[in-house]
Formats: sequence, structure tokens, C-alpha cells
Amino acid sequence: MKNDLLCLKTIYKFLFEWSSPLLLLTFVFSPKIFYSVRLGDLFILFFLVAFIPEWLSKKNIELFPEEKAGLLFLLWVSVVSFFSLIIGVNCGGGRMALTLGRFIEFGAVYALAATSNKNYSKTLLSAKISVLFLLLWALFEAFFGYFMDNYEYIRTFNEGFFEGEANHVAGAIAILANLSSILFLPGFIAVFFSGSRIALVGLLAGAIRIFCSEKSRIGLASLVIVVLVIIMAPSIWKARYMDSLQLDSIYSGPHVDRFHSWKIAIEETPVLWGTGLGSRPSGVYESLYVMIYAETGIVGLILLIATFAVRFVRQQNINSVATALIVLSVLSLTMNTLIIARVSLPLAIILGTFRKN
Amino acid sequence: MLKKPLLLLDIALIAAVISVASGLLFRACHEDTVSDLLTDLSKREERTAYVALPNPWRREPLSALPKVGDSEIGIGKKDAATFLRMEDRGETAYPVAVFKVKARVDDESRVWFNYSQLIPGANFAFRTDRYKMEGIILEVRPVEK
Repeated sequence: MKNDLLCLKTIYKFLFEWSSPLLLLTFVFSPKIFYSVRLGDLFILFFLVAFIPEWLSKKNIELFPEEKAGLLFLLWVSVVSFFSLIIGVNCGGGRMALTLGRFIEFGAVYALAATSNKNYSKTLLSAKISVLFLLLWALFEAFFGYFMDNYEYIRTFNEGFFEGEANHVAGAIAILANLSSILFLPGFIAVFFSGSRIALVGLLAGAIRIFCSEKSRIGLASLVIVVLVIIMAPSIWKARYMDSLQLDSIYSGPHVDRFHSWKIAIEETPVLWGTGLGSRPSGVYESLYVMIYAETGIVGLILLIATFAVRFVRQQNINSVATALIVLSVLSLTMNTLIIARVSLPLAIILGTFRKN
Repeated sequence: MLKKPLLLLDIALIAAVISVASGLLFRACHEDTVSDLLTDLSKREERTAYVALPNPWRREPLSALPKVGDSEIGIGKKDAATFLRMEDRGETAYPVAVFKVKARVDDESRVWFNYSQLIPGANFAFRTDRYKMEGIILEVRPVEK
């Protein structure tokens, strides 16, 4: 009996120390099991339940300013979404529950990472394993997985295990790859093959950290290689990126539908409180800023931006957290970042792990 | 008595849990729809699309041939396109697949399928759980009666 207890205690201690690195890995190995719920969500639930005794034992929780702003955001979106259901503007109860559930999950994973024994090196190791694994996956898919022909480009992370998730996986890589100068180049190659334009912009925006780092030589060499790859890559790989740079494509390409949706959604929004989470399918927004404004009003948008902006300002320099926030702010231009588990989960872990930075 | 910092945490969590529960309850009683008070951004109209299929037109998995009534399964595009038949048309040497497509038509009468405009020359992809087809749009017409 005593041995059993000792064994359980050892397992608990192991989980406590390794929760952040293990959770970080779940985004790579987490397939969908039904609707938008993933195996990783159940894994997170397991950790949350396991750590309830730990949280209950803390009698006083110190809240930082950004955490208070985050809680006010959660309170606000809960209230406006609840009332939007009651008054009938919102007819998407299931969508509302799932979206709000994602915000709660983001906060819970953040709290988990902030409570557990924060170990930078283990989390970084986990990020390195994830990015290198995804690089190998991308290279395999790009050169062996699918055949090419001359009328279209190939996107990695869009078939098989990662079906339809090129942008999501690339977004997560953009956040993780900027944790370390060494990860930047592998991350760039994986993102480049994914064809995700916004993730590539986010990754390059986060690269500002490389110039601020003491190991800037590695970063500088990486950026030179990046420029060479962009210039010398075969046109089939560049086509998706080059097309975005052609001004006339704005009037004939896929961008128009997105702008059109944004315009309608913004026009219909009650400015202060929005239409409630889930009032439309999230696919019509494809922008976190527009989505939050349309569904929770200007108050919700201000509280969300304040949550991350306060955290950014509190950083003393451009470090891992600041970089992750820069990438987040770029990704959110054309992605519903916070409700995409593959992107938001690694971000929550990074923010939580470096809570006291 | 709760301490002040905890009060905000507790209130926010209680409000969030009540909202999630009400959302699930609402979902249990009604299908998720888009409110009539809002413009239905997910409203779709039907069109017939003719798609030329250059070789190799069947992508992985290659285990099956298309059957009449096969539906699109792609994320966000479920049932948005249905395979009707294959045709041989004089204007191209390639086989032509005919699809019934649920597309969005904007104020300027442009037709959109997902984020791609349905116009001649644009790429078109169709995926089922047994195969995937990719080709180039030749023509888009009002739906066949």
C-alpha cells in the first residue's frame, strides 16, 4: 500500500514537471476525434483534473494585469454571448459553447503551464522536437508524398494526418520556431512548403528577435539563406506567395470574398456588444480581430488586445514571449487564431511557462 | 470571504460556465443556424460547374472511381459539391467532370466556392473519402433542372 502511494506520488511529480513539454507535443500528435474536439483536448482535461489538488492548495492567487484583462475579456464575452442567445440574435448555441470552451481551454492551459514547475529547457526541447519533426514531415511530403504537375502548387500539412490544416500547423511552427535562433531556419522551410502566406509573414515578423539576440550570427546566416531560398526556389513553390504580391489579384483572387465577409459582418455589428460568440460560422471571418469585434463588439476587441498588449509591454526586451505575441498579432489578421487549438495551445504554454519573465 | 483577486477569477469562470452550459442546452433544443436578424453570410446558391481534368486527375487515395452523388467532404466544404457525371467535350482533350456546387453569389453576381471564384481557368478541387479530383474550371452555369 505504501509502495503504491509512493509510485502514484512519483508519477504525479513526473507529470507535474513535464506537463508543459508534454502538452506542447500534443499539438503535433493530436488528431480530431469528433467535430472540432481533439485527442489533445482530452489529454489537457486529464492534466487539469490531475492538478486540481495543486490549485486548491494555493490559497491566494496573484493575478498580473494582463491576467485581469484576460478574465475581464472572458467575463465580457460570456455575458454578451449568453444574452445574444436569449434575445435571439445568436442562433448558434453549439458554436458559442465550443468557441467559449476554446477560450476557457486557452486560459486553463496557460494556468497549467504557469502553475507547474516551469522548466524553460524542457519546454524548449519539446519545441525543438516538434519543429524538427514537422520539418521532416514537410520535406517528406514535399518531395515524396504527392506528385506535382504543372498547373498548381503543392501544400504540405494539407493531406493525410494533417488534412486541411496547412495554415494551422504552419501558424504553430511560426510561434515555436521563433523560440530559438537555431529553430528559425527549419521552421522557415517547413512553413514555406506549407504555402501558408500569413504564417510566413508571422515567422519573418518574429525574426526581429534574432537581431536582438546575442547569437545573432546564427540568425543572420539563417536570414541570408531565407532570402536565397525565396529568390531561387522553383516557381511552383513560389507561385502562391508571388500571386499575393500582384495587386490586380486583389480584385480577382480569393481575397475579395474575405474582405466582402468582413465588410458585411462589421456593418451588422452592434458596435458596443456585438452579436455574440458563434452567431455565424467562424469560417466567414478568418480573422481573429474581425471575429472578436463582430461577435463581442468594440469592448471585447479592446479587452482582448489589452490582454496581449499589456503582456507585451511588461517584457523588458524582445524575448520568447514578446516574439510569440508578435507572431500571434500577425497570424490573427487572417486566422481565427485563438480558437485554433494547434496554434493557441503552444502559445498558451509559452505564455504560461514564462509567466514571471 | 473570497480575496479580491480571486473574486474576478471566480466571477469570470462562473459566467463562462453558465454561458457554455446555456449554449449546449440551446444546441440540444435547436439546430445551429444563422439568425434571420443577420445577413446570412453562409447562404449558398446552386450552380453547375464543368471541370476539365488534366492527367493525373485522380489524387490519393486512388482506390476508387467517382460515382454519381458523391459529395465533397473537405473541412468547411462538406456537401458543398456533388459529382454528377463525366463528359467528353470537344473543346478539351481531357475528361470533363460535372458538379453541382453550392456557392456564394455576391452583390456583383460573382460566384464563390470556399475562397475561390468560380470562373473559367480557376482551379477546382473535389475530395471524397475514396478519392480526390483536381482540375480547371471550364464553365459555370445555372443549376440543371
